Amino acid sequence: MLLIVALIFISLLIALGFLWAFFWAVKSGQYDDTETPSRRMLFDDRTNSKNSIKTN
Amino acid sequence: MELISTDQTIKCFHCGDDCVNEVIRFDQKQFCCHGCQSVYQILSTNGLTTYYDLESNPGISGTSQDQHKFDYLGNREIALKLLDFSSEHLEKVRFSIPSIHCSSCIWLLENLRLLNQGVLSSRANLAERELSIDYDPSSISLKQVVGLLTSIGYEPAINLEQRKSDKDHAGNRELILKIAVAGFCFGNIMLLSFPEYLGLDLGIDSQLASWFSWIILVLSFPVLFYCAQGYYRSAINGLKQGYLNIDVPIALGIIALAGRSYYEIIFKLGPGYLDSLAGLLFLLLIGQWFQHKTYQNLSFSRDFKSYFPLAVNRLQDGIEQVVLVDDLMPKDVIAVRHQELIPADSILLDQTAAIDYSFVSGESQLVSRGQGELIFAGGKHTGTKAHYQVTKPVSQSYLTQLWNHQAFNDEKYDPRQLKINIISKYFTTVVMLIALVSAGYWLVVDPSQSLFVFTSVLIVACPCALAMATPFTLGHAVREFGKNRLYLKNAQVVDQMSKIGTIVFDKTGTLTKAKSKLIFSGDMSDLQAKLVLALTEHSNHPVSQSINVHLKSLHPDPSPQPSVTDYQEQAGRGISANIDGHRVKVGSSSFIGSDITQDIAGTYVSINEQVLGGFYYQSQFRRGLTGMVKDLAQKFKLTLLSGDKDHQKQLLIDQFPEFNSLHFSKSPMDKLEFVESEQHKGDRVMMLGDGLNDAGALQKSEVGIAVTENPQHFTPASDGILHASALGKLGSFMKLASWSQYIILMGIGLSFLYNVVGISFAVSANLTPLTAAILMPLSSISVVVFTTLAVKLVAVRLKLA
Repeated sequence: MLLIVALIFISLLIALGFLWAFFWAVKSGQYDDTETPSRRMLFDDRTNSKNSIKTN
Repeated sequence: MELISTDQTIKCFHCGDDCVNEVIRFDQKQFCCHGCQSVYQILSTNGLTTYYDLESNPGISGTSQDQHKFDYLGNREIALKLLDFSSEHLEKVRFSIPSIHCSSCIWLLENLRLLNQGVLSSRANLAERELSIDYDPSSISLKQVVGLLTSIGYEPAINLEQRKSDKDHAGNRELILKIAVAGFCFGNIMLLSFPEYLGLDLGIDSQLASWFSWIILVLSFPVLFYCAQGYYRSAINGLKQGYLNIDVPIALGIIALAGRSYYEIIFKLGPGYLDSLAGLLFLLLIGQWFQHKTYQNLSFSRDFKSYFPLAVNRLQDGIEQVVLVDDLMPKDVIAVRHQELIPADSILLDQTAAIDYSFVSGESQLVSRGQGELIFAGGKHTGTKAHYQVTKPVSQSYLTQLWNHQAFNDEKYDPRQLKINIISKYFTTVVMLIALVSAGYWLVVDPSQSLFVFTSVLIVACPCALAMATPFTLGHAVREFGKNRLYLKNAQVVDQMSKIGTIVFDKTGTLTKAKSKLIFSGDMSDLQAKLVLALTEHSNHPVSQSINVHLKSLHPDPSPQPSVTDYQEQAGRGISANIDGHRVKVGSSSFIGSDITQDIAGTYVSINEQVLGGFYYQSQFRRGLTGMVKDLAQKFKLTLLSGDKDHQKQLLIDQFPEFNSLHFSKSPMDKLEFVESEQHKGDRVMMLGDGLNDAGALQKSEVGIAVTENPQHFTPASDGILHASALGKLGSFMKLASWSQYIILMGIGLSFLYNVVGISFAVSANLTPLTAAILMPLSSISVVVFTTLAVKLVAVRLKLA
């Protein structure tokens, strides 16, 4: 039955790992701006903007 | 007076505004002004027209064309205050740019380096409307970076003192972390309590049961010592100030829960109530977070410094020198350029100047001032560069001294007024009484049960549900308001709104639109209009130019060109000339020699000494006001406070007979004092204003709402920002606010019911951990559900949803 206790400790450790990851994410400011990245990813890569310079 | 309607609906390709005065055609596209057109030109020459593909009409109108505005950034000392990092080949700076608003903005701003090689990289933050730029100072200066941004319509709002601190973030982040910890512990404790819930007999392996208990005990520490900190602190603060706030019974409940559970676990008497403890804090913290809805991108705390320039050009021995405005001394002579704000009360040294007081009064119309006249701080100088002599330091000027008033130091909000804290006083007393009496009773009947019953009562009566009613109701109300474009600073404002007795309106810019219209009152034939048009063509004076633009929109065809001779301009008075043999004069009433005694400042026209009439700026009322005022008048005392003269008094009385009183010619300080005097009469005041001249009244009133046509633009410090288009809904807003109070009361009633049930379990010594684990979250969740639905329902009924 001690196996169960060991398993519980392991599962708790893993969960703590995720909690730590969440702490890290919050503290490094990843949740401060949730709006801009969601729009930024929709932009096309600017490969053609350089050669389409000025036609008028 | 007649109004000229503008039915033109040509939309500017750049900014999307209607082209009112002129339409500029360029590259087969229409633009409302040269500013918009030039931005388009910059972008199209650099191959950045994707800007217009991402969103339609993403541009910003009213681009400032002033090249000298940011000259002070050339001063290294000032520049260093702004820079986050500075080295020979890299400088980092972060600007707040209020006009960032859409995907196009992000795209363009993050591609700045395509416009200038010196910019290394740039990163926009839409939520906070900020832009971080890294640039190479050897190829582009800070001033040029700002100039580049300004030239494409993204003028940064530069403020040395109020650099946005990260303090707000820290508070919010900590709450989120606490919720995460509480949730983590709650989930794991519940998992480990499952055998207990299911009544499983771990029998032979009672060792396992004790392992579980110990793990639970350890898991409860972070909840008790980290997550619950805020409640202990608040309870102690409350007690120190001699009142029992809602956090006192909560802290008591938490301590009773923990103490009792630890006792049971350590002495192997039972499993304890730690699952309830963790769940309780999890829910409480979520309630706090929910109430803490913030509009990051809006600023509720601007004072005049956010509007005023940081530095001005001071004239010393004939040389212009950049100095910080705070260093300005009386008698200093400053040079002010077109579109610059006059930072201190000053005397005009030049012949004439046109001043736009829109920052102060909310009304954008030009006022002419002559040599030697006193100009109040906050006016925007329009026209060619002029010199002013400062008469008072910046902080002591007519407008700015308002900020020295006590009202700006007082804490506006007293948590003691919150209904929940009033109830809490009685609640705590009653709970303690019940706990003591029942403990006393059991002491006689069965002494071993006495302590058990005492703690049971404290645990089950822990006003979790009670504490949820307020944050969830107010939080929902704030969100409903937000959907309808009333953005409140925090949830307490809803509570304050429900107690208002008097509503005070500012007139200009609040009830009326910010942009007033130029109208002509009098008789003028087409031919005469063309003569006036030809005359005003010759003057650079802003008033002449706006008359010129106005007439041009009515008479687009200027031919045949009349011949203008003997053109004369008298500074500050008017212009005159002989045109096609007619003597045409445009100017002040004394210049014209008119006997019209209008008390509105108008610009009059005479042809051959015959007065035809005058041009006036007329303000227009916002839409939907009549119904709103009628609605509000049933419940509130309505007052109008205007800084203007009373020439519109009769019009206002006719339009809004419901107003209890109308006051005119009020200075900013008068407005503040008026609110104060109403408060002395025992009334709670809500003030709606827009300009800096209302700042004092907004601050002093219980609820100060800034009305604006663009929430990202300048608004004085306030408790809420109301989009002008939603002004008509004010009546519904007030109703929702007062309804929220009833909903809170009903929520509290609901949680009382649960408490009665729970306490009856407790006093009869029947409270098991399982009953507690079910009863406590159940009561909280039903209160949350009830308040959520109730607020929604009321909002739908009031047509807000």
